[in-house]
Amino acid sequence: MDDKEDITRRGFIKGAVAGAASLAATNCSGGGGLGSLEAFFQSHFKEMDKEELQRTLKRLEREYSEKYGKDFVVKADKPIEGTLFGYGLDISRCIGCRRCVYACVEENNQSRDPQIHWITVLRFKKGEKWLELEEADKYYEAEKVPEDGYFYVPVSCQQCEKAPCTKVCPVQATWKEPDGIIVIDYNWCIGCRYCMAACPYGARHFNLTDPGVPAEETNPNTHYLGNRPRPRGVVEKCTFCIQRTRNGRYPACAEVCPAGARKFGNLLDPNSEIRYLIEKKRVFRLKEDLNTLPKFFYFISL
Amino acid sequence: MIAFRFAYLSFAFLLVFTSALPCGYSAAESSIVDEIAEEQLPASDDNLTPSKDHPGLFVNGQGELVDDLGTIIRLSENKNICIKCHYGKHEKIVVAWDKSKHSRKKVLCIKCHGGNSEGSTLKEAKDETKTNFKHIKESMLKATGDVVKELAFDYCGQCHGDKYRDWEAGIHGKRTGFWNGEKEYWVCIRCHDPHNPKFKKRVPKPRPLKPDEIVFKKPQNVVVKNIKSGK
Amino acid sequence: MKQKIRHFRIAAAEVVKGGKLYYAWVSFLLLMIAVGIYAYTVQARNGFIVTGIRDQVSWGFYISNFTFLVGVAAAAVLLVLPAYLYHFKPIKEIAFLGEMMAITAICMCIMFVTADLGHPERVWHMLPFIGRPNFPSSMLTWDVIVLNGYLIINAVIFFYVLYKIYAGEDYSSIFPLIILSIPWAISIHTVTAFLYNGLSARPFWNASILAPRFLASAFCSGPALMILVFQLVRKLTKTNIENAAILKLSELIAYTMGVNIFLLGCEVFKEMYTDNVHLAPLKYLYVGLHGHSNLTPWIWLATTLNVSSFFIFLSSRYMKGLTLVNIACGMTIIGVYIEKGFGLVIPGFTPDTLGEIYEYVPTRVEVMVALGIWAAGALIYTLLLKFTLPIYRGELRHNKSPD
Repeated sequence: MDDKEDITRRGFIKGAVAGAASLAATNCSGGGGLGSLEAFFQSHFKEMDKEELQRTLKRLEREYSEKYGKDFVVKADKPIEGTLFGYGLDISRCIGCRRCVYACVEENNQSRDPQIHWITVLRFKKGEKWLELEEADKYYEAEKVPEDGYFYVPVSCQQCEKAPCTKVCPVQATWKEPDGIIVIDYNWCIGCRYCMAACPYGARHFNLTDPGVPAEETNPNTHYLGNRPRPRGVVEKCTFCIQRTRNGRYPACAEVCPAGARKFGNLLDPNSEIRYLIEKKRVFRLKEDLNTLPKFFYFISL
Repeated sequence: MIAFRFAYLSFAFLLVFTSALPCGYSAAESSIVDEIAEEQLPASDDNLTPSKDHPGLFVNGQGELVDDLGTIIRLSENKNICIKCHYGKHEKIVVAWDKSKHSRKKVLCIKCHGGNSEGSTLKEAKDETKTNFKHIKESMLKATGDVVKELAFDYCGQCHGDKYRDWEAGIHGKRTGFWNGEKEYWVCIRCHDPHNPKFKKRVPKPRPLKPDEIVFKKPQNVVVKNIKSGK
Repeated sequence: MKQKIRHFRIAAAEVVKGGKLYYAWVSFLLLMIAVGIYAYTVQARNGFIVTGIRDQVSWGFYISNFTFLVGVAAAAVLLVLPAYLYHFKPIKEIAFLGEMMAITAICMCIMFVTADLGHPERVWHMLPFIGRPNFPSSMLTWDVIVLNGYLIINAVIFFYVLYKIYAGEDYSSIFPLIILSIPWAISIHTVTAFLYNGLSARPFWNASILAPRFLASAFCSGPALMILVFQLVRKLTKTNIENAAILKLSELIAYTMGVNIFLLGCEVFKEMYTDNVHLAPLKYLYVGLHGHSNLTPWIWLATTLNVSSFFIFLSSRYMKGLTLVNIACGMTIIGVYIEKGFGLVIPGFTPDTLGEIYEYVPTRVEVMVALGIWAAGALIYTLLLKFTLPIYRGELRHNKSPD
């Protein structure tokens, strides 16, 4: 109870200080002091030595813990040897309930206001055209889903092997990890949004302002390249829940899907679920003509 | 007697007709529920006492359930016998089942509830059902590892071979846990109600905001870090 | 040396000397710059939420202006080419005005791109050695190199020639750099076109005709702007600019506008005739898509302006006065500004990659920032002009008293 009161009291002071502070802050990182100076001169993630990485992670943990009033863990788990992640989505099973969208938001500390969703569920009309994106509707509202005469295709980052987004980034702030996940160093991104122009799947999202995540809804178990709270003015995207999957767990969207339409696994393991479905089912990938080689496979099991 | 039979049948017909109406039944559709209602016959043997639990049936001296002619009722002879009595108590389940593919394909109550029902009497079935019911619901939901697979095969996989195969491989249905380790297999009945196996419709979560609905608000919840020290 | 410093001071002092009109102009520009800076602080404080930019349309008014201005900068080559390669005298005399325009336009480009960044304080990440430029993979790093290179080349040429004229010396030793500036000018606009061109996600841009179209439209809008500016300069500062130079430029615009319209026609034919899913952005632009047609009136205005200005320029050699040419120049500038700014950037995002249509409209903040940057550009040009004119007019020469 005390905590709660403390939070609201602090919230009030914060509100009062916010005006003055935001006026004073020239830009972006919000706040001043030594921490932000350190952040300003911070190296690119791949260039950090062990010592700097540890220092940075500690600094971020401190920052987030102070900001949200609870203990944050910022890890930088390395890829597991011999893994290349792949995702499978059964569009014959997806019912378009959007559980995945919101599970993702909660797991990955996405901004509630302004709203950012890493997963977009598209609704298509059955029988007319196949995946004609221009006919797709992502704002469908229904009393109950699935609706008769429609099918649903959730789209998020396709984790392309030949990713157009990493190719265009002028500062190498986004790259493909050895386990196939496309990640972003939020402390390196300059916010030019070229990657958003380059992404054929609308998977990248821009923090239009300081992300608004209620402190009590934050997920404190984070990864540097994944779900840690983002600053404003940077691009973010799905990382296959890097903080979970690098520890062997399923991504949040796969765990929440009530229809069991979402499948995840190691493409290099011949006994994995993902390999089974690629070999046994009819599989397709979005916009294959663009030769981006997504590791996100849509399939039909009916 | 004829007058009594006529009155009884009329009453039964009316009963079924009215009870079926709110469920969206068409009177013309001949369902198993209707058939059963018409089969209900009064007793003619005075040695039998009417059963309390099974209206329309009787209990003989040995405590076995019998029909009005005193014949011991065996499940193998009348597979819809359960509904006859359990209709009232489990109307929802029965109606759902009656409309489902399981009904059309004659997957009857005893398939799951009665275990090996060949030749068993109602009394035996009742005892069996009690254990079986527990067996399915609890064992199936709680079981882990290979036991789950056995159960899934015994109850569903025998007919749904293709689904079972995909499920076993982790493609059909839900799995939680670790992609490279311990997984929890979601057994068939966790998602599919066997009485109405078709996946349930559900209320979708709210739609995303349209870009012009994402608007600038005067900063109010802006959290400025390090308030205490005033840094 | 002493005299040189004195003369430099005299030239620099020119900048603060001027009539009422000059002061009114400069204060107006300063006011607009102040407005721009204010609007930018609003954006910096609150983030891009105060702009019209959203995930669906991630580039907007800033990048539109940037694209147009790269064209203006590249167009300086149209003065350099006849002046230094063909020694066409009327143009050689005013080539410096074109170089100044290139310098100004590049400065504005840099300002527009900076205004478009979410984290402008991190631009050092793009520098070699201390940052991690994604070279040669990212077209944006190429663009940074060619734009800054072009700025440096033009600045060096401009100030070197200026100094040599002042010193009364021969400046032909700069000739190799002038030669280099010609392909470099082509390259800045080609690379800018490739910036869009290389994105397979955006079929509207992913057409190989884009770079030629960029150049063609740049080579009409740039000279058109120059013709107007030159006449203003002539009128206000009594600098000698021959009509021959202006007519030569208008003749050039006739050709380039012809090519521009032809290339546009090629693009429209290919899209319309094949009529596949990639037609959507063009449809959105010209006729509207699913009831969304914000850009339609604008693009038809631009097309009308461009086509009619083409005919005016074609017949300009038979005209006596310059009035009609000036009107045509205005039409070309507006036409190309729309076609290549909004008309190019926005349809690339509309419909977006998942088929959604978000009709982008710049907010007041964006318009104010853009106004501020245009004012800053005008101020840079004005001050450069003020600094340069006494030397070009021969009032300031080495070993010669300014009086």
